[in-house]
Amino acid sequence: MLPFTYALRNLFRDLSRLAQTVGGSALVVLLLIASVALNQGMDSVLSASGSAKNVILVGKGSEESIERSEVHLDAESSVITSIRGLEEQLGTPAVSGEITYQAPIRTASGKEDQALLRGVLEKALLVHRSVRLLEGHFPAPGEVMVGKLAHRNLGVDASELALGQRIYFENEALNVSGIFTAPGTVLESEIWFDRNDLASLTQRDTLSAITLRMDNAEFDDVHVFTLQRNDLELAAIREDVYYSKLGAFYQPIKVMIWVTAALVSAGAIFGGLNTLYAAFASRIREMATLQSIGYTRGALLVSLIQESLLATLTGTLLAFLIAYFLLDGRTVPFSVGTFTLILTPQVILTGLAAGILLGTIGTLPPAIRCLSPSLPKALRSS
Amino acid sequence: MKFNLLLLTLATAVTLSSCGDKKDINTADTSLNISGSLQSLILSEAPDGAAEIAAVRKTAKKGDTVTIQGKVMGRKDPFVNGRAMMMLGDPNKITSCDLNHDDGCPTPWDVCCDDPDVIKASTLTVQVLDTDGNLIKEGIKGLAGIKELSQLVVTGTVADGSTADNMLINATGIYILK
Repeated sequence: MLPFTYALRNLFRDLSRLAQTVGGSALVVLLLIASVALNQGMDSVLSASGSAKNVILVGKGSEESIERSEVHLDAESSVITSIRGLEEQLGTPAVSGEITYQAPIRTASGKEDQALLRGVLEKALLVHRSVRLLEGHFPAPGEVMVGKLAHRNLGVDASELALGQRIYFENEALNVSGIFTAPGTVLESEIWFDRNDLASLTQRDTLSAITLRMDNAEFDDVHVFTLQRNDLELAAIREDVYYSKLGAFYQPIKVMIWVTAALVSAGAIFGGLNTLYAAFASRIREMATLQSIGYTRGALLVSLIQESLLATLTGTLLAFLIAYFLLDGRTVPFSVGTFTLILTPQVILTGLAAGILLGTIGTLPPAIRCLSPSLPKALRSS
Repeated sequence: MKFNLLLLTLATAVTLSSCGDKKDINTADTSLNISGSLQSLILSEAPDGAAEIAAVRKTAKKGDTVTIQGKVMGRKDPFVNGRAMMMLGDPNKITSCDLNHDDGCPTPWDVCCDDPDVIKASTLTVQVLDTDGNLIKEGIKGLAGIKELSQLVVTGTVADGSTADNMLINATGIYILK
């Protein structure tokens, strides 16, 4: 075997080539890390947002979008009296009729952007168990409670949605009465209104949906209710299924992320391969000389792979450093909420595997081409 | 270089192969394990005098014995997976999307092209109770081949919970037209 220092020294023979290989592999690995982190972030926020114990009752035909749904106000009391086995807290059934609305919100600085608004009563906390009030109190009329990440959706600083600040909706000023967290869910990006406030501000006399939490009841019992009360025109959907279907809705975006990453990566990979072909082609005689003094083709191949791996793994390390400082923990707003990019073990392993594959499989074709000529022919090559 | 192109093509194909439509979990096949109590509902001959659903909705009262003819439709999920309950619609008043030319609707039984008020007035719920008056905890889908858009003749009585806006039939017999 050739000594490891031979591969190490060769790396620095051409600094521009080294920079190209390291930069190319860093770009490929960084794109891969970003793509996996984006997809994982979106998936995890949507899957964490739905509970298998919660069922959402929406208007028939609006199963794909709560915002389009209309549910009669009376349906809420019918659910409470008709469905047995719902969870209760101090005698209050976990049933929450809510209004969900997407509309522009203006902050005190005058910045206006789309936000997800939810009109609720206090019993909403019985069904949305991940919600925890961090500061202040539940909104009374004329007040709102904002999610910890709502400012990201509005594109403003967190201080603009701090306790005591004012926001404006439909020319109505509302005080921020509380800040809540709902870790890893889309709720954390929402602004919660008093339900009656939101109903009057949006001029609607219906709910968007009723969310209920099952105890002994089964999903089929809720489904039966929707057929037995056909006059209410309701459809039942498990909360986790609703959010996983939302995930399917974002599938084209995910595919686009992968396709873009693949196209840019392909450019970087082919650029790197060209560099390697050129670099190894100029070393055919050197390889032949090493063979003539006793090193086998296998040993030379291993040395070339070592050399290439050193470069690509340096690029991988660089990509991890960039990802750590620029991507990790960054929140990304999308239409139904905000998700956080996290360098999970899976993301790191994917990046590492990509770096290793680039250094091994990517090196094989140019290395084999460099080592394949017969010894006399290789020794005569210029 | 050809080898690299092949590798890249394979990688792209593997990545994109997961983009197909997922099977809707609500339409899972429930044709297995149909019990005797439900099997005994199936009639070998069509009952006489089957009326249209829209007409029955206007005239029938609680406790009346009725025979109706309809099609399994009226909503996206006309069956309850683990309960003997389904929705029937009046094919003379509402049209399943498969009968509309060039309609690629994956759930034609939801009659999404019809007016919601007409759908509401032209559908009813059929349920099967056990001897104690409780809803049987078994799905009807798959019973003798019953599925969405099956045309059925159902005999039974108008259930206690029925109102002018909402009709439930306690089925005592089902005949499958097609």
